[in-house]
Amino acid sequence: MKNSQAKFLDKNKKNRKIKNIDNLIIFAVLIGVVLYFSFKNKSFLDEVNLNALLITLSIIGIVCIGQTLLLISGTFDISLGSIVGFSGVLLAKILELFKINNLSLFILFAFIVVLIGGLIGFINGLIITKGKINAIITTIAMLSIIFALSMIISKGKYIKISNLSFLSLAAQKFGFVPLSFIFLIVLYLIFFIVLKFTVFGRYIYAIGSNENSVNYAGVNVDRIRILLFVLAGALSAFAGIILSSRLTTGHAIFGSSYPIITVAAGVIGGTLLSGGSGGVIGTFLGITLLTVLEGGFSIVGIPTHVKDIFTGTILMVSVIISESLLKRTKR
Amino acid sequence: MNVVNKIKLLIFLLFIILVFSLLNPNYFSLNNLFGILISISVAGLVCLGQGLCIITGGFDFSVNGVALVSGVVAAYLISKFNVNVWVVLLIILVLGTFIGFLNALIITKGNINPLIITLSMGSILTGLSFFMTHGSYINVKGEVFRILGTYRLFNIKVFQIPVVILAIMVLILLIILTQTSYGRFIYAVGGNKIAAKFSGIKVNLISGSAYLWSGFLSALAGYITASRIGSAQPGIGSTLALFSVTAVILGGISFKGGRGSILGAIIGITIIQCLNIGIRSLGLAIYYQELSIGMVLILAVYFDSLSSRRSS
Repeated sequence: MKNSQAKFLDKNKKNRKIKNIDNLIIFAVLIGVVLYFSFKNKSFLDEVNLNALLITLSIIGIVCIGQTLLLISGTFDISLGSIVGFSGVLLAKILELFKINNLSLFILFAFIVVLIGGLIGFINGLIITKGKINAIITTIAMLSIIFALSMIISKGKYIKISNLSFLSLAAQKFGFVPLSFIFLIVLYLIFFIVLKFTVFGRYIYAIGSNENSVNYAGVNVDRIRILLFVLAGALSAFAGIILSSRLTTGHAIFGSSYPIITVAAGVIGGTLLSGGSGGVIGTFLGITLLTVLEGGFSIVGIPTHVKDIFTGTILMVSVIISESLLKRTKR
Repeated sequence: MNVVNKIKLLIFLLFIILVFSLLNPNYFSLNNLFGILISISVAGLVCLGQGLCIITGGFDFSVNGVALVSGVVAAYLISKFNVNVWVVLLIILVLGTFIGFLNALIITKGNINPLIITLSMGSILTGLSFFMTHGSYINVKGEVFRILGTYRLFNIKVFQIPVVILAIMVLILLIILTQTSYGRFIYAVGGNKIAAKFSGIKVNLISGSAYLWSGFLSALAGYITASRIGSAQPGIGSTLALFSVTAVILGGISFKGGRGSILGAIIGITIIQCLNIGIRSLGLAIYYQELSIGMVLILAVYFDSLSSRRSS
């Protein structure tokens, strides 16, 4: 008994070491990529470009948090990208309809839109846990429903944003650091603490590695699962508001590539598709690397169509590598 | 799937046709029904492959990517290099099967979630087709290219080549699934992987072969689509994956694998295309289709999980 426990702890330590090395490798690659692009093009690290890069990173990085929590619990949400587009369209439409121009009402409605994002996640979670329906199929169906809803609201067109506070949300900056990046850092800190030091965080890992045993331990697994989908939905809606603010319009298509990229970022950061391991710090490094690569591509002059090929390949390769690493540590 | 379920589906189908006919008298015209038949035959091919994948317990979300890239590659080879049309068809079918092989290899050898692999494969293929066409379309001159999409057998309107091809493929797969040991293995692997393994079935080989079928059939569908309109364009068929999964599950092929019939998938896609064309005939925008299909998918999966709970 004692022997097996010691063995288990030993293996755990080994796993953790592997994860730390992983993060270091990604960090090294990230530095290398940044150096490469700044050599290639002097303007890569100037104030304007760095600011743009950080805003892009903040928007998708916020979506990544929710996706990572879901990945750790052993599932993922394909509909997050559609929630990003939907929230921008919805907020832009509401503000246009009621001709709202002041800050406080903007904040109120932005808050409501974030809540609606959470509500969509709640519906996802409810169908998946109470209806006992596969998460992939549910979120894929939700993706098409939400995308269609934003197309119906916007009639397939771009909705121009005229509210000044909405417009300045993404433009707000301190030096070259955008306000949204501060949101990002705060959110990552919060969820780092939640995952590392709270009971709730430990339950997420436990559900991901063995749902049944958590259930037998008397924990309401369904409630935690639903809460994770709500968090992911609300965070995506928040990111969608910032994205619309940045692009000064709302459109259904915004964020449609996010599901693949966010899963890829999580997997690169050491969160396994099969659940039970990983964390937000790895995801942060993963999404930073992906964002820098994408930003660098456009600076070096690689056409945008290649982006689809790039994200697809990255996701596939990272999943293959991480799953084969997992098998090696299990042996 | 038993007979009762099939009858239920057929009643549902008749109900949809009735509702749309009442809303729009033109819906039940011969021309419109013929259009529905053609759209069923192209999407039906994809559904056959998707059905096989789901029976073995996986699924394939790269079908739209495969269909897209095969149309584009075909048009590219013919218009740029003047390759013989039939050679191109052969190349496309091999290409589709090869993509299916890649999917199968990664999914079965790495034991990785099929959604992630096929989704990223689809993304790569879509990117490739945009890259090859630069986002616009490639026209193909010459009548030979259009034979597969537009010609008809014995000059009878219903015997259009796509419809005939679908009928032949359904027949072949029905025979394979019900009469051969390979067909029984497919159901065995989907029903209980471990039991199948212990009875000496090469599980990886069998479940992998479904992706090969799916790649082959999607490539055929992509070629026929390009042949029908005489050009290849990126962006066509982007909803194919969603529609095919919905049709297959609606048709009674259980999402948990191991149960259902290919005929059900054809009934499923018939319902979906009747719904789609009905929505279009009411003059509603195209995204109402996605809205309704998404809801149908959730309902179909819900009923599927109900019936599998009842049977277990």
